[in-house]
Amino acid sequence: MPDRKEIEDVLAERHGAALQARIAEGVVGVMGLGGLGSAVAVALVRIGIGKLLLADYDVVELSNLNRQYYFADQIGLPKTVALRDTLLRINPYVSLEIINERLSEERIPFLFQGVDVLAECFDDPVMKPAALRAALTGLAGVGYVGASGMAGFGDNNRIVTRRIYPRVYLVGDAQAEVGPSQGLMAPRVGIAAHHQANQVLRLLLGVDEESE
Amino acid sequence: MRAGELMSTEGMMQIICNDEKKEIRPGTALVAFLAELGVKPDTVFVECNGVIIKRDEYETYVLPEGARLELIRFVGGG
Repeated sequence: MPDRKEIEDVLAERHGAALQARIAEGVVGVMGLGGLGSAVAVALVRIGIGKLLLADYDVVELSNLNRQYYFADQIGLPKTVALRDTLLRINPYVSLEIINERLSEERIPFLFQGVDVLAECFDDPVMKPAALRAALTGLAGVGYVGASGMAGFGDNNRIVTRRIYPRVYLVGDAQAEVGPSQGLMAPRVGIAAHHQANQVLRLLLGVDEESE
Repeated sequence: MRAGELMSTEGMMQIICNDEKKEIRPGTALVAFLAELGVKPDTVFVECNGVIIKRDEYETYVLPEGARLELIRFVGGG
């Protein structure tokens, strides 16, 4: 097993020392650990994020495995616990805080005070605007990357990242809703998740530009 | 722009919703306007004249004449 310094050195060599120092200071909240949140967390841990706050109330189910970053031997475990185990296999030294509760608009500002960026990865369409309101009114200045519309197997390039306020972004096609006719599938949810992860990274590195 | 310049059809008033002009009856509550658009109130983020409207105000919030409304609709899946 590599020690902490070996991992840090390799990341600094790959990404550049100055840039890596900023990533390593980053604190990111991930709200919802489904197809979006589990992939966002994995991507951020791989690049050496400083700390993640991982929030979900659910347990891993067989039906999650078509798109979420869990394994068959984790069925029945709380998603927070299963994902923590996986992330620690990628980097045993990353700082992880798990929040095993159902989030609400009222609780979000309290639970995520002090994070640099918040990733909204909920499945529930009611929690998506609620989280945006919570961030804008209760966590002034926080970076925010939400998501809406990534079901099915539609065109890759309709998944976009839009800047809606300074440091506030929404990813997705804004249309493809999960329903009886189209489910969520790993490829397209993964595209959206990695848009989110890259936008989180950009915010951590101080980039906040209007899309072209 | 003065409010008067937005008046059009008799008895109606205009608002701007996501950069598009809309005519509504004076006194229209936000929740009624959303229903006309076919938008589920629980799945939409609303800003009116630069102010974020809380979900529990949608039923009582009356759209003012000339309001600039920004709606962000969310769909499920994640």
